[in-house]
Formats: sequence, structure tokens, C-alpha cells
Amino acid sequence: MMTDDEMAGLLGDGPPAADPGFRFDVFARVTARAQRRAALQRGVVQAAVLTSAGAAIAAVQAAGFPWQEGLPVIGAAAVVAVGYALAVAVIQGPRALLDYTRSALRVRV
Amino acid sequence: MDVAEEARLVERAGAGDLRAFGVLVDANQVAVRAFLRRLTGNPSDADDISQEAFARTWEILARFDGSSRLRTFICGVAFQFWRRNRRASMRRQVREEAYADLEDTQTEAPQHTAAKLALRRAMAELPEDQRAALALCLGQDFTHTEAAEVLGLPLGTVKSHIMRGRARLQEALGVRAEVGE
Repeated sequence: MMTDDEMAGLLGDGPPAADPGFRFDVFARVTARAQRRAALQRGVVQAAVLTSAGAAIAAVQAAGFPWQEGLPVIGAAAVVAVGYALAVAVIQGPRALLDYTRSALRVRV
Repeated sequence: MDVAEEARLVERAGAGDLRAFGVLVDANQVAVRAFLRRLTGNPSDADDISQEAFARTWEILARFDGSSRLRTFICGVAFQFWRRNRRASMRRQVREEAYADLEDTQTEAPQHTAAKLALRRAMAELPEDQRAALALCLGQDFTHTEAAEVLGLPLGTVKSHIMRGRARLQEALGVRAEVGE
């Protein structure tokens, strides 16, 4: 009859000593999991913000808001946004505009 | 590593000290990897699950209350990972275990090859809890009490699993097993 230790040996043993490479692999997974979690949180927040904006527009429409009266305000806001984007691109270069957009999309709750 | 030292490192790791957690990884990886190698029958799957279990433990370290050793807690996390992944990949596992059997046995003595194959097949046929109980306790790495904590089962159930599982493994080796009641 085979002993428990003999059966355990045939089924598989652990490494003879702690492997430092294993530790680094664990750290890499800790980092990867944290990045995935952060990306998921950002996605959820962005989806919530955009959904809320869409719902707000739908509510305004349902309330019968006359778009003709709001057009000057909407137009002015659009001109300001485009002007800001152009200014950033001219002063700090096109890459800065991309960085600002990225940081703006990282909405923190 | 003694209990007091482990508690001190767990407290520091819980506060965000990754270096302290690294020391805990080094102290516990041998036992955790041994358990998973016996459970999965595949060293690379075992190490993959081990690393995920340690990474998950880092996230949920606050849930460890210190009433048992940390390796018990980590093995519990690893067991849950294995159980979830096993149900999702049963067919792939059967195929890879067959390849692993061939690969591992090509450089071994024939008598060990036959016994190893018989044991692996017998382990693969065991119910999950019985298989895990044997993987924990066969090499005397874990006590029955620790195995009960890892698996979330009563101590009596674990002892019964080990007794029955051991008998089935011995049968697989062609030995008439005695099941004491």
C-alpha cells in the first residue's frame, strides 16, 4: 500500500523553495487588476454621465422646450468650446489637446 | 514564519505596503502552489491560479481576520478560482491533462508512470470537495482543521472526504482499500 506522502509526491509537489520570479509575477497581476478596475470605474462613470446628459435632453424635449429660443446659447457654447480647443492646439501643440481630452474624460466621482 | 511575524506583515500589507506583501508571498507560495499542483495536475495551471489567488488576496486582505494562518485564507481564494475556472473549461482541461500525462511521464521510470497516471485519473474523477481535501492534506501540508477552513466545510465532512478519497486512490493503484467506519 502506498503511503500518503508517496501519493502526494506522485500527484505533485510544490517548488523546493520560494521563487522570487513568482513574487514579481504576482506584483504584475496586482498592477494589471488595479488598472482593469480603474478602467471599469471610468467606463461606468462615463456611461452614467452620458446617459444622464441624454436623459436630460430627452426630458427637456418632453417638457416642450422651444429649441429656437435656446439656439443662441447653444451656439455660443459651441463657439467657446471650439475656440478653446484651437487655442490649446496653437499654444501647446496638438498633443496637449489630446491630453486635455483624456484627462477630462477621466471623470472622478 | 511565526504567527506574530505574519500578523505584523499582514497589518503592514493591509496598509498598502507591497514589500511586506512580497514577503508574505514568498513565505506562503510553496504551500499554495503544492496544493494547486495536486489539485489541477498541471504545474502551469497551478501557478497561474496561484498568482491570481495572491493578487486577489492583496485586494481583499482586510477580510482576513487572523483567526487562521494566511496560507489557509489564500488557499480558500485559490480553491474558489479553480472551481469557477474548472466549470468553464472542462473540455479543454481533459485534453490538456492527457498531454500533460504524456509529457510528464516520458522521462520517468515505468512503475512511477503507471502509478502517476492512475492517481491523476482517479483524482480527476473525484468530486471537487473530495479532490481538494486530498490535495490539501495528503502531503501533510495542511491539517484537517485548516482544510475545513479552506473549503468551508465541517471538520467531520473533510475527514470523511479524505478517508473516502484516499480509499479511491488506493483502489486506482490496484490496492484493496480498507474503509474504516
